[in-house]
Amino acid sequence: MENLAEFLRASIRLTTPLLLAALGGAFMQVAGVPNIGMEGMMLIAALVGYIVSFTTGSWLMGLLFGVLAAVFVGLIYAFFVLRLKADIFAIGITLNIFMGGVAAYIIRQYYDQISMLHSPNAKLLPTVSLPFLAENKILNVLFNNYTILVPVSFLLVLVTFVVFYKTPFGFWLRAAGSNPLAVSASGKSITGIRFAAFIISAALCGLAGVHLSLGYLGMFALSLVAGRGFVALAIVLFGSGNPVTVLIASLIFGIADAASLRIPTEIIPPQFPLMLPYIITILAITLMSRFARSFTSTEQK
Amino acid sequence: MTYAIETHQITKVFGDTVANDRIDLQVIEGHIHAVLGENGAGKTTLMKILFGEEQPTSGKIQIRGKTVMISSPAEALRLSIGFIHQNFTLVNEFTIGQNFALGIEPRKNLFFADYDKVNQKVQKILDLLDMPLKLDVPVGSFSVEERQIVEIGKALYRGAEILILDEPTSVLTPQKIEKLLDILRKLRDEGKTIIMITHKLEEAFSIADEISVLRKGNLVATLPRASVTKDQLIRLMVGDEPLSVVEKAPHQFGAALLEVKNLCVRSGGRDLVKNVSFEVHRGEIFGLTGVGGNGQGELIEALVGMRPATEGDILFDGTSVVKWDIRKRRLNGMAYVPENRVTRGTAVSLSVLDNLVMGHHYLPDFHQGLVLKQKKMESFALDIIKQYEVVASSLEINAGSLSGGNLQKLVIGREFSMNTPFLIVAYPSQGIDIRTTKYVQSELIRRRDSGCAILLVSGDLDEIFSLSDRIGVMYSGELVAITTPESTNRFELGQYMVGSRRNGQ
Amino acid sequence: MKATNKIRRTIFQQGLSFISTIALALLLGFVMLWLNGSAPKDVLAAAGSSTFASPFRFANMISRMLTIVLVSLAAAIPFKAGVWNIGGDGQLAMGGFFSAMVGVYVTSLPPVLHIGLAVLAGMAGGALWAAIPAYVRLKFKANEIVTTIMMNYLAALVTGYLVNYPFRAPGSANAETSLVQESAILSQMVPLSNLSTGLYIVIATFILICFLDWKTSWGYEWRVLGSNDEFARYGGVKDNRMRFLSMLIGGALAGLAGTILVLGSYHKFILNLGGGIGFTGVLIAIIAANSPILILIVSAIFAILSNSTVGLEARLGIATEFSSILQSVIILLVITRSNIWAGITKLVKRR
Repeated sequence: MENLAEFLRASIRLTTPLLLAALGGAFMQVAGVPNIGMEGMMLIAALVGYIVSFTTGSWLMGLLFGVLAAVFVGLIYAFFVLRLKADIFAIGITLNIFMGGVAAYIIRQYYDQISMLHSPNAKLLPTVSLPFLAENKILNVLFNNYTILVPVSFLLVLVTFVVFYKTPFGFWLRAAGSNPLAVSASGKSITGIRFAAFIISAALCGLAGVHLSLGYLGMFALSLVAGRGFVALAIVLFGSGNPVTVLIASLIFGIADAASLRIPTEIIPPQFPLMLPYIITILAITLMSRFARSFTSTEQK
Repeated sequence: MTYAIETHQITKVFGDTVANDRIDLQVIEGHIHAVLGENGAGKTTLMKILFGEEQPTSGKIQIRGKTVMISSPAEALRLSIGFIHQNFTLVNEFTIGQNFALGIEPRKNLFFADYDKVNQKVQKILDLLDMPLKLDVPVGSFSVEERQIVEIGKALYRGAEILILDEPTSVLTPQKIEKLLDILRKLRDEGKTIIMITHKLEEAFSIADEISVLRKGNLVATLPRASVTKDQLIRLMVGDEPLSVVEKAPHQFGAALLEVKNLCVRSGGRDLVKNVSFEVHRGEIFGLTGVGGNGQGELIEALVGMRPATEGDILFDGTSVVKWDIRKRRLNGMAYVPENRVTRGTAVSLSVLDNLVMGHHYLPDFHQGLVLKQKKMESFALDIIKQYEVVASSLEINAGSLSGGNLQKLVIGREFSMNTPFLIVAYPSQGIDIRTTKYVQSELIRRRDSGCAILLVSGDLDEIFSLSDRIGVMYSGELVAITTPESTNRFELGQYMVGSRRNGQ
Repeated sequence: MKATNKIRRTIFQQGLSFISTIALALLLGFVMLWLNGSAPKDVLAAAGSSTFASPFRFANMISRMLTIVLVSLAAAIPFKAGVWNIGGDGQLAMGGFFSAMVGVYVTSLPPVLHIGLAVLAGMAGGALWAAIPAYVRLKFKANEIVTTIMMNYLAALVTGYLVNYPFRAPGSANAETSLVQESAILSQMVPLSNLSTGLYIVIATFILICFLDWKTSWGYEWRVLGSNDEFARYGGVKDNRMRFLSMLIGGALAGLAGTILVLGSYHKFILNLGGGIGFTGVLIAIIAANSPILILIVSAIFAILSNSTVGLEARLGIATEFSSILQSVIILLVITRSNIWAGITKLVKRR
């Protein structure tokens, strides 16, 4: 029982970065502009967040500047795609590589490190607990002592849900993705709506990145995102941007991640469990595409 | 009697084609006004001008006596003009209310959209339209006709007093059309002004108070319904000049090369081609006509293999080809000049040479294994350019830099020079000058005389009449008549085309 | 005749805008370094020294360029046919591993045969790794951007397992295979450098790809598919078959890049063989508009850039990673060069 609780706890911790990024991806996806640059946004946020945290000694400043860094990337992305009408895939991929270069350059040039950055002065994200749960051992393991962005990420699912389905802005977003004609006929600007989506999406990817360095790992490493931006993209595609489906898919990936870390390496080499998320992504996106195709073919009447 | 809309000398020029030529349209307030005409007569352009989606080259517009500038759809909405497009502007995932209020949502508690408020108003509109639709399901789950009415409701919700409907019945089944027309009558009785664009005579006749007929960009007449007959309208639509016949040798019937047997094409639950049977013989030009969108396009696609046939059979030289892919059909003697030369007939970002060798490049003459015979292709391409008078400075320039007429000649040259026993030629003279048209026509006749079977698809009755040995007319997916130029006339073809007559009636 | 001159002029203008955009980006790089406290003169000297000062440095640059050219073509060929291949890294790793297997475990073959077999195995490995995402894309329409990237991570893990467990060199401290047989080694061309006789293989391959692109029906059909797939289908091009083929060839080219690194530079398979070079290939394919010649030019520029930063680091203490930043800036500017030049023209005219 306690083992199971520990396992679920690990799953939840591993779900958070994916969930945050995927929620961000959802904002752009529903507006009809897939976010290919999540990898780069996460990486730069993780780095800036970490550096600001150990230079200022404040996790809040780290969080803030990490998110701002990601938003800055989002601005560049939006400018190229919406204003200059450049290909969204090409720019997204370029930005990922760009941010990889920037991150590598910064830690090399200014901190003389090759692939990682660690500072004892870094203030990590605080953990939160509900005291009344602490009395029960299992509930304590399950629900307490999480880094602050863990509960926040789950809260954000609710917020995203409300924004998408209860506010005018959410309706504009979804209309921009589903039928741009409807938006222009209503007198709203597609570009304006999509611009907002870029910014919000980048901010959420920023949270995901900061969580990775200041919350999950407690350090920065160039390999810390490791394709999570693309796994998140797959999650978004899988759930067609619906926050609830995104939550479920993220949990599945989180559980797979946690499972991969728990399988003893004496029995199975560590590479195999680590492959799990990537294999699941390929399978999921294949099955989902199949489903989506049959869906659209009935729609096109 | 006041006019809801008056246009004065509205002219719209696109490049060198005049889509609207000095049009004076007057629409009486509180009436239903049908605008009738064939495809390409300029109906949609005129309506887009009224809705601010296009700006007229010259002329002015008055709404209820006031001269206005309709600079954008938003401005049109402010002037209480609503446009119901053929492409719906509905978001399928949203409910009716969410669609109606998109962009103008009332709010509660500062942040949230208040659809309770919206839905009260929606219910009133649905009551008015006599449509008991569910308010809490996405509109994507409604049928096409229901969505059409929702689209009308959306215009009403946004305060439209003048409704413009673009071919509203083209996606509807006959039973549903009646329902829609009833609703339009009801709206008229409520005092709305309705302009309906259509090419269907029956509808215009059954619903309109006034009918305007457009032909080749000109407004030929506006007449009160009560004082015209259908036959008069058909004459106005298709014109009454005598049809010219190009000099050609008498018809030498050969064996049937193409036999189409009970062909059906179904897509997305709609029957696009219904049970069509005909054959094209060697040495014959079979002219297929009809108002655009009545299944001709889908029929051709099924013939060449770009679209699966749902039922029926296609025999080519006695062999069933329905299971063959496009290349195999081409290799066995089908060539095809498509209707849309830019999206289908060419790749405009590639060179003239690349465009000319398509389909030839896998013929034995032009390759040795994988390797293309460059020299041979070039001299072949130069021959086509010369023979078909394609004005292109070199083989290396982008096809996209050619004028429309030259691009068409390129496509025709490429397909004709395949020297196949069978040719499908769709709308060959679209957008090309008279000299080239004459050349293409004489070339078609020459090919026919040498024993080629030709399926000519065109909406231009003069072209169909002067070239064809036999004529087939399609209406809503069916081949409603097969006749000969000698035994028919413009008026009768017009009747077939608008569905007011079929063979044997 | 007049019109032909006009065409020449537009081609010239396009080439000019391409080159001058790259120059603009490089200039931007100088300015960035200048603001950072390095005088342009020193930067130039340091950069030049690391590539042109000695034969082995120049040879290293060429060796680097070979890899870049191959991975760029690996992205460009599928791209030409309208398919994204972001999986160059994984294909390179698999190719490298396959060739190492042949190099290590096949014995007593004459060098020509052994190398030939290892090269074929490497290309097959890359093609195999590309075939999987190609298949799910064409059969199920699974987004190949996501799947090819996932295949990269999978390749790293699969090869990681293979060189850690079954094929680890006995007694080695690192996760790597044993050295390949003497008969499978591509010999060094310039002492101290990474440049091997793989150069000839790459030159031959490059010529072959140009030939495929310009002279064969494959190249023709890819070109048409990529620019208007409806026209291609209408003309009788077997669209899915040609797309699949383009991915296989792309994979084989990336596999060849890995093979040459294994047989020519390292003489064994090591982890992280390509070091993320596959992504650079994608970027180059994008800005070179899939033209082999432009790929060659841009690859040379990128190889010189990444080589030069070694000198910058040694002499001026500028981290080598600066080159990947500069490369990204080049890409962004080149992608949007028409906007940039239009903007500049407008500004000039306003004056």
